[in-house]
Amino acid sequence: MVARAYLFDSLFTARRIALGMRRYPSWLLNLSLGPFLAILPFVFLGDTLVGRENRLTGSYFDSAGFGGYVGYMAVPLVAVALSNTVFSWIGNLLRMERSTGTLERVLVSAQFPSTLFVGTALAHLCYMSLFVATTIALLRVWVQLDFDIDLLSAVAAVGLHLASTYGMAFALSSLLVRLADSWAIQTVLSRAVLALLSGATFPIAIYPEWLQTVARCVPFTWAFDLERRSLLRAEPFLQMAPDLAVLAAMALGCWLVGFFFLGRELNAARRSGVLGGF
Amino acid sequence: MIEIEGLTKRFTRNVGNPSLWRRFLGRYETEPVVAIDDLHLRVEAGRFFSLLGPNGAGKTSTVRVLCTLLLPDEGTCRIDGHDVATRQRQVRRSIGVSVRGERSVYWKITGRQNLEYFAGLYGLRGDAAGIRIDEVADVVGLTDRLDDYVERYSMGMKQRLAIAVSLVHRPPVLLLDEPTIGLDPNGARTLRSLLKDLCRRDGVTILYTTHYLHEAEELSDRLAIIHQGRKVLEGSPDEVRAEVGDNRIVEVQLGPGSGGALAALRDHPLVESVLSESKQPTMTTLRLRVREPVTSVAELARAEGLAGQPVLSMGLVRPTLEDVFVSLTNPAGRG
Repeated sequence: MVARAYLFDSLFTARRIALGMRRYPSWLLNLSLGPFLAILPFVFLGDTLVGRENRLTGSYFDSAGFGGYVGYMAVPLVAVALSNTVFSWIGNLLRMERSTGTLERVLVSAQFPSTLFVGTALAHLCYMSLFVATTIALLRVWVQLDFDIDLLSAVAAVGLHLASTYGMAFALSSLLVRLADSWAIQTVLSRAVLALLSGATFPIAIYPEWLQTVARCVPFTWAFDLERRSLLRAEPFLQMAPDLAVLAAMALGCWLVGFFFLGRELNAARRSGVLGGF
Repeated sequence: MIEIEGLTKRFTRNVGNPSLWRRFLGRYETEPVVAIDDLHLRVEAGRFFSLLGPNGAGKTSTVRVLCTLLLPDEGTCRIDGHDVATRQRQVRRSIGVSVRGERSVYWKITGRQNLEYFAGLYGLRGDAAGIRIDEVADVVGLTDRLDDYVERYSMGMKQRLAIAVSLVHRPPVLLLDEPTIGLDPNGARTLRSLLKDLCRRDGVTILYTTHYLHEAEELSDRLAIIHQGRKVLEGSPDEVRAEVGDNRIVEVQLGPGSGGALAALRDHPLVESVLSESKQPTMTTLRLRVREPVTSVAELARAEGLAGQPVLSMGLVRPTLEDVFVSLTNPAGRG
């Protein structure tokens, strides 16, 4: 009964978000072309410095088997763009609801406050598939990005990447409920992690051991690595299974942190009276 | 039924002008503020109860506690027997709320989509939801515009939609925080008439905060005036009016150039306070509260400073709710 109510609350929220998004289709253009345009300069820089016909060299690239820089950079950069979008949607959700004045209305109506996040994530996901497909198609046409895909591994890697990204955004947003301007902190944190710790554009093997350990605590690091392996090297599912399990555990952990802190922080906000303030 | 016993709510308020660094860290200097101080209220089922008070009196905080958006520091509040601090989910099912008025609905979707969304959150789906949405749209007079985007509504229509949203799950209790603020007189009158019907015809219990005294007078079975978080008076509108007492309100109309008369009346030993002062180009009207009940205004009219002043009229009048409100919340008569 509770699960059913939770599901319906989430679906109604997803529908409301999707209806609102449908009104302004111009952002679809931004979402579809933006990541592609952000990736292109990196590819051109690689063309200038290395040259498309030359392979990446170094102990990491030799051992990992990633020779072409286009695929090595483009796959995680699509994922970075996707993650940024998720953070700006989910991380900004409470702030948006606060500033429009609807947060309190929703909190006195919804049985489960977390369905606000889950429903938004569901609506968002419908559009994300379009954005990812467009970006990959454009990359194939314009920079001849070649994939070598193991479908099962790829579905698992992308799915867990999405689950962990939404989970991280939810957890951060929940942790920072009482900070009126938490979005800036979330953005800086997520971008710093994405740019420096995730190994999106360079291997974390260049870092000292302690920093590599820190980087390995970040779900993005695992997600990007798994996406590269499944999309560019067709690594079989069973071979990737242990690493997929680590990412799955991280995703679950993020969601659990989100659920725990959302309830706790909302109660603290109810006590201090900052819920309606922005 | 709404029961509030010994409700107290304290906040901390940021003071001073902290440095950018302290602001970034959220380290403000604060001072404690008592928003609600030992408040006791009881609203019987099916009654219209108004909570009156000046800005910052604690009206909105009281509504927020009742609708589970704030947790009380002390005391208990129950709605239909459910404690607002411990039985939040049951309380939310029992109440319809309008806080933040027209901003509490989504402007980028239609009125119907708003109602469908909130009906869904209350567990109403399918045909049952459709029928109920048509009913509440009819009640608030939005049937013709229900499929328009809310951003195209007037402010009054958005307010009515917010009321419709709060009614969609048939709550027995309605909590409304200053719902007529910003509405034009026609919109406000329509909304008042709607609320009156909901209470009288449908038996909905309504707690209504306002600082428009005529609204409280028109709508309420009972009302309470709160000031600085404390209840200073409660009763029916007639009982509250009687608090000032008969023969204690004097209305004086003065012609142009009556500065001397104003000063003389303010300083007169019989005058306790100036309740209101309305200035127009050709006339100034004062309402004065006198210290003791009087049977005539003769003594006041003999005030020294009034000789030769343009006093157009002076007489005893029946106290209004506004007189009571000003007497209690601004006893010195300062503007």
